[in-house]
Amino acid sequence: MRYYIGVNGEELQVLLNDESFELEGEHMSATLHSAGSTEAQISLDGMRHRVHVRRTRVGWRIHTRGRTFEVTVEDERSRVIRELSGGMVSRSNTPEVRAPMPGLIVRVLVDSGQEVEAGDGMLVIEAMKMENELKAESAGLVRQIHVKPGQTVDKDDLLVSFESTIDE
Amino acid sequence: MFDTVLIANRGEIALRVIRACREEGLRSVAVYSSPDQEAPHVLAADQAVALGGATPAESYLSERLLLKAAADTGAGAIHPGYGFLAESAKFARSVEDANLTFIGPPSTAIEEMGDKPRARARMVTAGVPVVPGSGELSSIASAREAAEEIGFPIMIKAAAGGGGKGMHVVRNPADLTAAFERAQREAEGAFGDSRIYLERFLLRPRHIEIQILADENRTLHLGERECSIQRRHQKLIEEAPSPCVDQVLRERLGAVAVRAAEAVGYLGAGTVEFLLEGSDFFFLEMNTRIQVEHPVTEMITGVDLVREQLRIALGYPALDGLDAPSPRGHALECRISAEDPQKDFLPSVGRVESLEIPMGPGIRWDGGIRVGFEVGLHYDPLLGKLIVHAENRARAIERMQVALEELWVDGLETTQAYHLSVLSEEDFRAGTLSIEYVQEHPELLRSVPPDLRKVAIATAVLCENHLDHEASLRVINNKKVVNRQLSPWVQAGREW
Repeated sequence: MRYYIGVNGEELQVLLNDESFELEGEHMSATLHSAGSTEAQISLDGMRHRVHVRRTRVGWRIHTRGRTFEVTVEDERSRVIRELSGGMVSRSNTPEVRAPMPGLIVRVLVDSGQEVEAGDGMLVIEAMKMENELKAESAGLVRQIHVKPGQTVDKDDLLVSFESTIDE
Repeated sequence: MFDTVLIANRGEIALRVIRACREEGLRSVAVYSSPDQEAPHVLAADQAVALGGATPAESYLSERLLLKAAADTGAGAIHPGYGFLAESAKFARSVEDANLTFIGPPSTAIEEMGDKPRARARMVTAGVPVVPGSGELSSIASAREAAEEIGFPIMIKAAAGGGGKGMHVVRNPADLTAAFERAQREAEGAFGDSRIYLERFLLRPRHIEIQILADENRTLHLGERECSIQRRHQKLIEEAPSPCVDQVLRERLGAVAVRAAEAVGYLGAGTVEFLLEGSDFFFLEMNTRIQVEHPVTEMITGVDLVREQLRIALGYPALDGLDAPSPRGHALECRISAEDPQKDFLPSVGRVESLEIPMGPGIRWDGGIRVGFEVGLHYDPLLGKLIVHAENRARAIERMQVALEELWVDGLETTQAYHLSVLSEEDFRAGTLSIEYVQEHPELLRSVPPDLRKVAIATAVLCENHLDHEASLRVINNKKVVNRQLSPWVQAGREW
């Protein structure tokens, strides 16, 4: 089974089958044991790792040894369905910018149709008299900007959506 | 003189003070803003008074509400913690005028040290070394003379303002004239005032501070802390002792710090901050309160500084009249804040869903959060401090790494991963630090151990796989079938 992974602004593919797990050319055995609703242990090639897992709106938040990763996972079938429906039903790799906190949109720095690189400023949100510039996590093409200056937003409100940049 | 203390603060320091009060047999009164209604410090105190508002101005900064709360609860003393009104001479005076004990120095000491230029002048009078500098200069001749005296490299600064305008570093005496004239022009353009002054430019100094404890009869010091790991003047990691301070330097720093504190008639706990360049050090400022990083000194000396504050305020001698203990071992502190290092330390908001605190020998957590607590943007993003103590610096680093790997704050982004990156970095491990460290190691903001990335990806895929298919996995090595244990996963997945 092929899976499409998004992590840290990168995209990659893994293969999982009865026998093994393959990631970036490396084959390994993988087992998962859970001990509760968020606590688990994963064995990779016999090495055990303690992990904390939470399901998020778009994928999984994995915390292990002091580090947190946001990982999106999409299987082959879901991906095909998504593309057939014109990319509207998406849960994974299409990046978006959502409000990290409640605040006021002060400035919008991009236009729809604009290409951005990772790290480019997208908008400025103000909260508690502090201005914060929200940056693009990865390169992409801005599809739509959902807010305008002067608008207040709640945490997780959708601010900017991108065109999918995944090559098939 | 008093049996009840009102803690005019919140978060981890309020809880810290409440614990010390309980140990000393004093009643504690907590105050809280509306978002803090169920904060740990409120739950821990003997009594709690609602201040009504949400912003600091409406609550923790309101002298009127604080004094009223003290009057209503019969608190005979107020502990200001750090931040908020801790260094407000006006507040200290109001407390004194209300015939309450302010747990800290006299308001006059706060005032003298609070005005930075005034503090500097006072220190010069007291023979405390300050960053060599000149008064205002208007001619190139006087500038040249001043530069000779101060020593190169020199920083030219505008007297009327900052923000980098009119600021130039001159390394070579031959460049002074041109830089001086340029600075004057820039200052005139930016502030309408061409006055400039000179200051010695310190090359990658280290931030070293001395802990002071003073009672009516004597002023003593408890050694140094190094706080060079800072970002935009906010400390991230602190340690005691400093890897670059030997006993001789410690005694010199200590003697000067004591002199500085005595010059303003200091009482209680305080910290004198210096910039150190080689074996030269210069007074930066004095913080007339307990500091965030006080635990590292406590770990190496065994002294409870907050309890000492209470006892000195009650009239007892500092350290029961004994000498300062010799330091033992090494302590490190990592400030765990609700900020995302990967997004330039963007503040994070959310509810603490789960909390796992590391334990074990030499591990301490001074935290201000609990499961279910909502962290917003009203206050400082500090969630808690993780402190370790071990036999030496290398072991303290190892202990801190293990402790940081055990810590889990679920529901918020925190600075935890950044601390882990610093602890495995070569310069940090070698003790090669300066206040430029964070800027000089920008790669640490984004570093991701590849093996953990692999674990995360594998975990996510396996979870997704079970969620979709309720499948069992065969493992290549031992043909193990894993399925029954994972029903909770599937159920949990469906709930999501």
